Amino acid sequence: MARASAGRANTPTIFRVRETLETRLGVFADFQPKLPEKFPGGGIRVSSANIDPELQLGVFSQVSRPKMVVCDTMNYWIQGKKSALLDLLGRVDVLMVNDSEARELSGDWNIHRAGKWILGRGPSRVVIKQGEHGALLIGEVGHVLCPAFPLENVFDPTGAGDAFAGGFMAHLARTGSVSDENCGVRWSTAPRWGRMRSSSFGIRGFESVPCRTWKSEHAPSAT
Amino acid sequence: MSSEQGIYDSGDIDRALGLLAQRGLTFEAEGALWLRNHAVRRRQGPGSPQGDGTYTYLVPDIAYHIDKHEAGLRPRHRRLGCRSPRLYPRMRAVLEALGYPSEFFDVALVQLVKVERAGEEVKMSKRSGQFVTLRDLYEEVGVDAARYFFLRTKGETPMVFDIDIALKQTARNPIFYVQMAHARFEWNLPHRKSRGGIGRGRFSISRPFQRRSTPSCSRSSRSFPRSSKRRRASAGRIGSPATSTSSRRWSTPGITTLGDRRAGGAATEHARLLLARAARITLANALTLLGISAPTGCDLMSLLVVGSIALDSIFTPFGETADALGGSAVYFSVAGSILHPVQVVG
Repeated sequence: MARASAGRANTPTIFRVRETLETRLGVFADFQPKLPEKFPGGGIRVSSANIDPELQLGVFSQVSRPKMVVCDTMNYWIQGKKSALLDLLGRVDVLMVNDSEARELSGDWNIHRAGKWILGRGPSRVVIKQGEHGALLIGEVGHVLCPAFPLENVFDPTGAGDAFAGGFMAHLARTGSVSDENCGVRWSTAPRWGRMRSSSFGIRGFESVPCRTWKSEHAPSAT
Repeated sequence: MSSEQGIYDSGDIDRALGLLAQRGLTFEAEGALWLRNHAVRRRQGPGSPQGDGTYTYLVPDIAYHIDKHEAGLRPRHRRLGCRSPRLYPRMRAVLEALGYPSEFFDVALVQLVKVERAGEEVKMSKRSGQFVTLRDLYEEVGVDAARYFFLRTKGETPMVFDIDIALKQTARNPIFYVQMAHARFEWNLPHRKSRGGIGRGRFSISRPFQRRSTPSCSRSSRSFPRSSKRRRASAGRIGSPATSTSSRRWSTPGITTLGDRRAGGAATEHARLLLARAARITLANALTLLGISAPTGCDLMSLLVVGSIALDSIFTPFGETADALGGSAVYFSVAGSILHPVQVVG
């Protein structure tokens, strides 16, 4: 298993709101994602945070005419491959990061200015996840803030951001529109998926949710 | 294929003029040869030879059709460019005067198409060889959108193809609107059925939808054959009834109001669901006739995630777990798949 040194020493103290003791890339050190040759064009493409920005660029070059390209990143790449990450930003439509990553990437403590800084690097929208404080969508629609879903018992927040992104993007895909208006409308429902993720260990939090119930509650509305 | 020069060289012109004279359809006046007005139902016909000894453009066309008729060419539908809209009625009149069946000269005119991008016309020039081909349009806006926009406008009507509208993912883009409507029907109806049969769910259709859909569905059964007979697969004609059934009333929150259910009851709701199903079928048939895909929600927009699939061992103040299925792609896809199929590369 490949190991990488922690980014702790390189992170300015003012941006350090949590500590990453060690980052192990593991299989991602040599991960070369390849899509099937006949993969259909269009649709939404999401690339995970763990992947090297250069590899993410390779993934995006394999799909034709995507309607929306979304990427995530993490402090390890912000510190280690910032130039590649900035190149990647020029190729994506949406960047999803948490607040500390947005601050670290932009070098600005103010979350709104940090979001605008990122927008200036290419993405048309930036999603800044703020844990229990909700999330912020910044784009042409302006600043859209949505609160976190109330949860009395938080067992494990691992993957809550990914689940949040999954719910949000799936909602956009299902309604068939990645327009600004639709993003603004779907935005308010995304924290529920993060809540489901955090309410138990692993993916068990999703097991208790009948799919039909959720589909029924989130029946598609007009675009 | 025939060239105009070939028609001249073959002597078909003289033969055609001889045939016209034999039928008494021509006369000479003012040094020119004229077609008789009463025979061709036109006030003024072209003459030959003119002062410079050349024939008008109608004559080679007449000669061509006479030659093809004598060669046993079967009547067929053809699409011709709008070089001169008056030419074709005259041609038809001459051929009918010669005793040919009217369907022998069955022509639809095709006008020029302007392509606009960002509000400006994309310049095309025969001289400089600059064209926007159909292949270019297919690649830029997709086959469905290109086909719909061309079918929506009658061939003889000049058309402006706005690439920006064809790419929009809003109600302003008619093909997106129609396909989206079908996808929503497709998604909703089986789901409602699976919840205990039609009429038992809390789902109902608003009355405005009902009023709009009923005549639309019945109209479509009449408009489809009519469009077929006229050989005008105009999306405006075929698609409009279906489009109206897919009005956004279907997808607005009003369709699930309790008020509707209370007012209608189970029987009414059952009838409305049947109506919704009929509307979906109508929409699917209309799209199929136009050669446009009728997508489901999954087809309309795919969702792909590239990320990790891992076994997580987690310790938190509230407990611990070992080797639990995790990884970013897993969390993303499990959450997203509740609403939409997610494809994973991990």
